[in-house]
Amino acid sequence: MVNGVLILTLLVTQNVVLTNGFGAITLQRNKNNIWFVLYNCFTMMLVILACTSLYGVFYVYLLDPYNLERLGILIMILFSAASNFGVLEITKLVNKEMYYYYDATYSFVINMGVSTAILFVTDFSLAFSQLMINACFIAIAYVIASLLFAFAYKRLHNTKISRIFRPVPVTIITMSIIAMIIYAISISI
Amino acid sequence: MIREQSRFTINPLYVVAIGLCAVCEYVDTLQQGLLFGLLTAVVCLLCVNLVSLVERIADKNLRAFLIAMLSAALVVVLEYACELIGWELLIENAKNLKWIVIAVIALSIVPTYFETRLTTKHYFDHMFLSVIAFVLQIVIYSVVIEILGYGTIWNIPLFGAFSGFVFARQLYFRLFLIGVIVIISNLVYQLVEDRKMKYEILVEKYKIQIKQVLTERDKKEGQRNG
Repeated sequence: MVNGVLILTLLVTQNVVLTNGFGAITLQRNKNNIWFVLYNCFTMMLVILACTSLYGVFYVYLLDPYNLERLGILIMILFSAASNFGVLEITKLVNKEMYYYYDATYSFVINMGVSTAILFVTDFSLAFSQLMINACFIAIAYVIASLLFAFAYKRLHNTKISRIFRPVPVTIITMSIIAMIIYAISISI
Repeated sequence: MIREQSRFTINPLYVVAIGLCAVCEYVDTLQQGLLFGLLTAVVCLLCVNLVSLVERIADKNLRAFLIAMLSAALVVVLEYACELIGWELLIENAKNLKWIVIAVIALSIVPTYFETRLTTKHYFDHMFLSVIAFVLQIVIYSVVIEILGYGTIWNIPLFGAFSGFVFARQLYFRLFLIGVIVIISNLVYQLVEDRKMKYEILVEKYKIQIKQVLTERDKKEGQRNG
């Protein structure tokens, strides 16, 4: 359990940097639609799990045995782009309103960047079962971080805050405060 | 490769900040700052310019994907080149160069999603200035981290035995520093934008006045002739 909490806190710390910088931009235009934030979290969870499992299999059977690890970056981008194209097409078929938000908030490129960054930080030399457990933790951490920032962003993006501070600079300062809290928690654990 | 801006706009400095967030964990010294900054600038300009050649047949999402793939391919080539060149700084940072791809994806958002047709003005206004802003910001960031975190500049000790503050090497301080840099750059950007807007309003005002004077003169000449 403690191990799980440790992994989660570490992953949240990494996710704070990797995902919410992008998320801050995404949320500029959908901050009032919490359903889209939830939908985006759900699809990103699926994308993270799909990409990690696909790349994990690819790594074990092709990249590692043939010493092609350097080409891994290209494969990672290919998988994350393919998953996000899949999400885009499914969203187009299932819900037009969500597709509008997805398109208007340029979520494709942001989600592709985030899922690629998550693949970069994942350790693929672990056993497949451990890899999938880690992927689940990363997905949960992503959702926690995104929801946390969605609500924080809603409060921070108002006219009481000076124009030069909002929305991204104040979000980055909030990120630093949250990173400090997580750092303190991880030290005490 | 230069496009006219579409109706939705975004502050390019925010995109630069996102790019900086992606590489901040791997930049500790001025040398690393310059390395990451210049490599990101070169890879970004190259990828955006090359992908803009196929913009008539590829939609914006496909262009974003192509930019990501192309930048990844360039980074793979760079990693191989690092081994061949044998420069210590490059070898040390070779495994972190992949983060350049994320910075390039972030920096390419503006030219890919917010511009629809090629024009020289927008190319220099957005793409080129974004890249320069990124390099400047990463240099300022790396100088502050090196001085406060390690007590050196360009690996030369500044304060004798002082080896820097531990907190300055932590993630939260790095993020705070990025936040401060973005706020200062945003202040400068807003001042320049406000001045530009005032100038444009003034030009429009004078244009209207000149138009009125010319119309009145034409009327008077017409009355004289008539």
